[in-house]
Amino acid sequence: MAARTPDTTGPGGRSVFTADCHAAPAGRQAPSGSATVALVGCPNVGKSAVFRMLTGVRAGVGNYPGTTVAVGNGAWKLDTGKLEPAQTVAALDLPGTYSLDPISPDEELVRDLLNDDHPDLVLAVVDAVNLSRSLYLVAQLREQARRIVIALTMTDVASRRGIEVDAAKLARAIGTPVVVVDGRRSTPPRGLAQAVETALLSAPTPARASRRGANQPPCCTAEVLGDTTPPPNATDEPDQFAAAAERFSWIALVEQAAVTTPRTPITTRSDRIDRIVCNRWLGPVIFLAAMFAVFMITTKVAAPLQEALGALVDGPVTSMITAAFGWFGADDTIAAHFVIDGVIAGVGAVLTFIPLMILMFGLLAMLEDSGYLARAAVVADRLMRAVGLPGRAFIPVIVGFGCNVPAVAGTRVIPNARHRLLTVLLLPFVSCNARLTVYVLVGTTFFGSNAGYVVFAMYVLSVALVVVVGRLLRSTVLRDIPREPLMIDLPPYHLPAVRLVGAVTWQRLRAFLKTATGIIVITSALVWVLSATPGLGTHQTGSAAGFGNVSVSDSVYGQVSRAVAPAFNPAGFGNWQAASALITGFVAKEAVIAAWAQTYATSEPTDVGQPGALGDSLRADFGESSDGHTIAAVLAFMVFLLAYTPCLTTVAAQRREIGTKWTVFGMGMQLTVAWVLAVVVFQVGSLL
Amino acid sequence: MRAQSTVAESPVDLVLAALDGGATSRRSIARHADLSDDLASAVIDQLIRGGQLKSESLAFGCPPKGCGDCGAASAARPACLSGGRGTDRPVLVILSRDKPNGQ
Repeated sequence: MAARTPDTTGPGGRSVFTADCHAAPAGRQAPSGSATVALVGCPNVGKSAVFRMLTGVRAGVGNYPGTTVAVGNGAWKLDTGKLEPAQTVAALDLPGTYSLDPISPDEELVRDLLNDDHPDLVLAVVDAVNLSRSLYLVAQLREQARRIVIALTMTDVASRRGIEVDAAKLARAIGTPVVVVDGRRSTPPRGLAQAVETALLSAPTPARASRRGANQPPCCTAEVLGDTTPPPNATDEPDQFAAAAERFSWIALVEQAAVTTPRTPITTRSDRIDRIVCNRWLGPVIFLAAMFAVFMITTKVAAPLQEALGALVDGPVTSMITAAFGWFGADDTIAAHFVIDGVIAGVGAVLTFIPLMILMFGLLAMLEDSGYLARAAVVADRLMRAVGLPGRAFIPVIVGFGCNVPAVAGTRVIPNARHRLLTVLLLPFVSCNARLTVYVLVGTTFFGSNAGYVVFAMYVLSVALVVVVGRLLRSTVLRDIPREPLMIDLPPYHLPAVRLVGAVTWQRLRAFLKTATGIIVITSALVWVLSATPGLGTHQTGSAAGFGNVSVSDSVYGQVSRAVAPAFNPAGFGNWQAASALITGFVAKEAVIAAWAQTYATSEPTDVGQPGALGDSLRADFGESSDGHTIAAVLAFMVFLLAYTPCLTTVAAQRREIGTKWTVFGMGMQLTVAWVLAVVVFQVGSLL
Repeated sequence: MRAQSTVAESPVDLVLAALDGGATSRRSIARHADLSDDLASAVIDQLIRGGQLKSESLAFGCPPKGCGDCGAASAARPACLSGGRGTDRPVLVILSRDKPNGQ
């Protein structure tokens, strides 16, 4: 802080503050001993513009507190229109502050300057558009005896919004002079100089009368306004909350006396859109429609791109690597098969996800940047509360549509432990991006151009499961969960910025690839190893018996899958290939397609015309296991995939958040719900 | 002219009651509390300053611990739309009530 030298006494006999050293470049200085006028006000009220108008000193006008860190100093000649020479005062431009209860160094500086150094007069710059916010600071200034003049700015903007502030009535209500000022003009209104000169010659205005007991800070001018409310209990401990409440009561009275607002508030474009988007009935419909559009665009546009990438890997890339092994005479070795059928197959699976992820992440980023996703949070909050979930659960649920693992970790934002438990138990039912890849493959294979509708239906079912299972849990094992109100501050609508959406999409894609690539490649390689290992009791013939020379169905992988497959007979997909995919999916959903591709590619081809034609193989096996009720079986399979355990990593995350007991309970619940639903879907579907 | 609350009820109490009553935006709080948008907004901002309301900027798809926990972030820049504090991009803000002692 600058050094100060009190060198004269002003009106009332108090020492006069004279700032003689400032960090900011100073304009013309007031003569030593001049009275000091400190300009205070909230940020963005036009304070610096008023200061520049008064002193002619250029000062920066910023949008955030702390933009003008240094205290500006300039000379202001009070041109009152009188014949005698005009008085010159030292004007100080203090940093913008919302309150004299500081939460930053700048605000602390302002409070110290005002309370400790006592400028001769405080010129409070008050914004007519956001009057309440400015008046909070004035309410605090009036809690001590001071000379105060109010400079009321932005009255033209307020008028355009239908807000009319009567300066005379405002002055009477506050108890200090109020002068309308336009900071854009080159010279201040004469009335301002007159008001300041008159105030400097008068005694300070008494503090607002205390209504909270002898030991409380002064708070009210309620007597001036005719307020007859009895004062609070005098024995109450002073605290900021009670002080703030009292100040706002005062502000409400002041505004009641001096401010006229339109009968119906002026609505912005965002408000008009929100009337529809956040409507109790239309909101959920619009939300579902938006999500439907996202999924339709994703599946329709991504599918051909995925096919092209898959063909690239299966074709030229695989051929190149096979040729490379061939140069070393190693093209039919275990190592070659491991690399081509294990690692490359896994990498290929990752590559085919890229178009899907780019579209999904890009579209969600656009919705987020436009401000719509915040509205979706409002709509979802009602749905959350209908389920009995806390409103905060919306965020983990939305994250869960990307990946369940960070969603489970994200439940840490929920402060209540029971709320957190409920949310963690329900998150596995949220359909993640990894499941989407399987939906798209299966949907395209069995439903053709209607794949988008089927995929969307899976997401609707996902939400329905969260709601239904949530209610079930709340009415049974988790009855003691309290309710929590939630307020969401809606940002204005905004056209999405292409550059920003692109940057966010790339960042999220990179994060997905970073975590998924390792899982997929390792799982794909592991599946290949298990598929190449002879199972127990397998009969090997020929000189090439042993590891790498066994059919998939006779391998360890095949035998485990065969043991599990009968459990899925009631659901119509009791073939070991489907069971093997689900076993792989238990480890990581991202690896299901790669494992399927391996399963069918290394088994004897069912279609000699199209070696590796995964779709044809799937159609054949589902048709066989369902006795011709293929569609019902496929839907049952997709439902099971949706509802059972997402992946081992999610299980690990759950165990970290809710402990082993509840995690095991959750896994059992998921498997039960998945199996029952799949059986119902197949049994009902096969009757239709 | 908009009808004002009775003097006996502080705008702060009215705003908190509106929040407890299920208002989910500043505009709906103002309506529930029968206050001007400007006054309701000022009360909310002051409650955030005072700690009675917590304001959290949230973005989708990002870890709760923030950028340091995100695989896509770097030391130079965050990886989410809300990572730049002070940006004017739309950011979802969730406010939660923190009742003061005795309230």
